[in-house]
This record gives sequence, C-alpha cells and structure tokens, in this order.
Amino acid sequence: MGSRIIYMELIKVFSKPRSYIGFMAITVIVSLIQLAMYMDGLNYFSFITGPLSSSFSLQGNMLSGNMVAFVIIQTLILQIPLLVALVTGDLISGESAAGTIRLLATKPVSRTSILLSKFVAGLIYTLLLLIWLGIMSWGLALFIFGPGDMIVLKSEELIILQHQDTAWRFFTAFAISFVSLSVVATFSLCLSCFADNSIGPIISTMAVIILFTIVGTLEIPLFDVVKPFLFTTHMVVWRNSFDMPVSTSQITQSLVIMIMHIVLFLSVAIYRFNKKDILA
Amino acid sequence: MKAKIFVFIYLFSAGVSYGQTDAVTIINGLIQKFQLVKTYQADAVIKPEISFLKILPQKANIYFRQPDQFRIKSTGISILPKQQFDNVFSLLIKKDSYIPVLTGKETFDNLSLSVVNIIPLGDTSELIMAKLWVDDNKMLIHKAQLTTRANGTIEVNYKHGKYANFGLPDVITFIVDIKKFKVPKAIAADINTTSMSEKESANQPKKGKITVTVSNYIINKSLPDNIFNSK
Repeated sequence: MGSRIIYMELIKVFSKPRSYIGFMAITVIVSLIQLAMYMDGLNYFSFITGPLSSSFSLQGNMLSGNMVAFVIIQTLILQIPLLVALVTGDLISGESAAGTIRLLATKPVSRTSILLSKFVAGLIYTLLLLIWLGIMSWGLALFIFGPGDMIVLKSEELIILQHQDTAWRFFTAFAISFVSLSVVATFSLCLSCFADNSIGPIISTMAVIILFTIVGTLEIPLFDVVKPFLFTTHMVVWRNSFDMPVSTSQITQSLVIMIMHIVLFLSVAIYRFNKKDILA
Repeated sequence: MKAKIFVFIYLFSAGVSYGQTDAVTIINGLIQKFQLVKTYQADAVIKPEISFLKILPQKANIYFRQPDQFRIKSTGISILPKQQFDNVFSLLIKKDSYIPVLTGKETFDNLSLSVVNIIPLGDTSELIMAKLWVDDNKMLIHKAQLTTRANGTIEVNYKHGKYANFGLPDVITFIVDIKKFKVPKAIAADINTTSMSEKESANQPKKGKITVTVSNYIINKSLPDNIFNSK
C-alpha cells in the first residue's frame, strides 16, 4: 500500500511541468559553465592560484574535469535548494490550491501515510535532481576535460588532491548533499502544510536559506553564537569531504544535526497536516 | 692622512682582488663540472611543506639541456619555488653579468666550505645577491642563498650522492619566505570555517620548505625538442 501511494505521488510530481524546471536549469547552467571553462578556464584558475604565483610556480594540468566539477557544484550550492523547494514546497499547498486535498483526505489511508508518501516522493525527486547534477557536472567535465588533480580553494589554505583520491570524495560529497537537500525538502514540505498556495512555502524556504547563509558568512561575533544552530551552516559540510585529512567527526556531527532537522520539520509537518482543517 | 687613506684603499682593493681571483677559480671549476652534463633526465618526488598548502608528495620527471633549457613534467599538479633548481647554474654560466667575491670559509654539514658571494652587475636584475657555499675540492655547491627583489630570500640546500661526479644532487631542499594566504570567504565559498585569529596567524611559520628527491639520472643522452617546447 505504502509503495503504491508513493508511486502515485511520484506520478503527480512528474506530471507537473515545474518538476522539469530543475533539470532544465541544471542542464543550461552547467552547460554554460562547462563552455566558459573550455573557452577561458585557465584564466579563471590563475585567479585561484594568484596568491601563490608571486613565490611559487604550479606545474601540471590545472583544468581537469575534477576541478571544473568542483567549481560547478560550489557555484550551484545556492541555486539547487531553490530547485528542490520549487517542487517540495508545492506538495501539500499545491493540493490545497487545486482543491484536490479534500479528495486525497478521503482515501482509506491515514493522513500521516499521505504526508510520508509525499515526503518520500520529495526525497526521490531530490535524489534524481542530484544524480542529474552529478552527471552534468562531474561526468560531463571528466568527458570534456579529462581526469586530473584538483585544487580546493579555502579562505586560508589550498588543498591539492591527486586524481586517484577524488572519486570517493565526490561520491561522499553527493551523499552528504543529498542529506543537505533533504533538509530543504522537508522544511519546504513543512511550510507547505501551513499554506494554501505554493508561492508562500517556496519563497519562504529560499528567504530562510538566503538569510541563514548571510548570517553564516558574516564574521560578526554575535552571529558566531547562532551559526551552529542554522541548518545552512551544516549544509555546506559536503566541502569537508575534500579536506586533507577528512574531518569525519565534523561531517558526522553535521549529518546528525541535519537529520535532527529533518525529523523536527517532518514531525511538525505530520502534526500540522493531521490537524489541518480541510474545508475545500 | 692622505697616505693612510691610500694604504687603506690599496689594501682593500688588493683584498677584493685576491678574493675575486679565488672566487673566479671556484666559479670556473663549478662551470667546468656543470658542463660535463650536456643533458639529463631524472625521476623526482616533490614534497612541499608549506603551512597553508595541503598536498601529497608528487612524482615528476625532470629534463635539462645545456645551456638553460629546463622542464618538469608531472602527471598531476606540483608546486616549486619560482627560482627552480637550474637557476644557480643559469646564473653562474653568464660570467659577464656578475662579480664573484670569496668571503671566507664556513662549516656546513660538518664540511668546511668556501663562501662565494655573487653580486650582479646591473641594477635592474631581479637578483640582488647570491651566496654560495662550495666544496672547492670536489667543486660541489652544498648551499645557495638567493636574495631577490620580489620574492625575498630563498635558500637551496643540495645533498650529493651517486651523481656527485657530475655535480648533480640527490636531494634539493628549497626554503622560501611565505606570505599569509587569504582570500575572501565569499569567493572561496568557505562559509562554515572560522578564520584564524591574529595570534594563530602570527604563529604560522614564515618559511616554507619544498624537498625534491631526484633519482635515476640519465646523463648525456639526447632529448627531443618537443620535451622543452610542449606545454
């Protein structure tokens, strides 16, 4: 029964044109970045290595597929949550707006099951979007630029990873990103339970992500206290899989905090959906 | 008084001239040894130890052809100081562009070495001064210190072994001045790390070390042009 409801929800998700906006956006943005890198990538990377160039000379291929993929994923980190929220923020509120939620509530399954099936459908959509991002960024970059070492730019250090040491890091980064995006999906689903139109939850989700990201970026002592409690602080922990050595304790801690956020948002969503007064 | 000044200038000039003559002998000996090697290729392992840079040792191939063609090829990304290993010999071979002055003897690695200062003649040169510690019996450079306008001082230590007869080192260690590495967090997209405090920054090493271990030299075997031309 559970898998059947999930299947039905997936059909609903993929029958809406907006569900393909994410895939198209990724295709267009990533293709443009790949083209730009192909045309003028070396200049871009000379900017990264600029602070080193006065004393050192870097030898070898700077423009590798791994390097380009890392830059693309890093660039899209703010946009992907929007693409996820575009669909997951609509899961409940879309039904409310269309008036189909009443019909849905008359089905012989609990409201909790309905919400959980929407949650799982949202996660499957998120996973597919992430796989597509992986194919378009990493797969295509490896095809165009070939394999090679990569430079990870951090604010106060540079990490140079050897090619054979990168594949597992990318897989780990994508796995962590899946948990990160699941937080966004669950948060927008939660907001979706409070609204009767889709725009509210989608915009609110993005507003919260942008606000939290700004707070996380600003180096003001007052914000240092709240930073550990913001889910956006932990969403970028995928970058830690490119550290040397990898800080497993920090990754684990962030994963635990993100899973706790998922549980919290999902619990609030279930509570709210069960109490929701369905009038129309 | 005039006589005293004359004697002083005479003795000073004589001293410099004597030091210069000995220095020229040493430099000629070094160049002579250096010219035994028309070409070489070798395997190298480059191991940087720089506070702001995390990188594993990288394997590379080194190619050299007289007088100053030098190329490093590595499968991945490797890092070297701007002044690379051929710089000292490239400098020495242009005998018209500097004055060598022997300043005495110093002990280094339990060896008594002659210290030769290389003073460039032109004031537009990037190099301000070079100081070489030379074993004048075996005509081997054990240490070089290059002071440059843009990049501060770089120290190069050479360890010789199997290929000492050709003046080729087994291990070269570069010790370079390093500046603090910092880019804005927004550019690095590095938003979840805390910046180093001023105290932590001050405690960071001001010198970086790059050790190049060279092995499997193939000496005086002709090398194709494309090695030096290709990027």
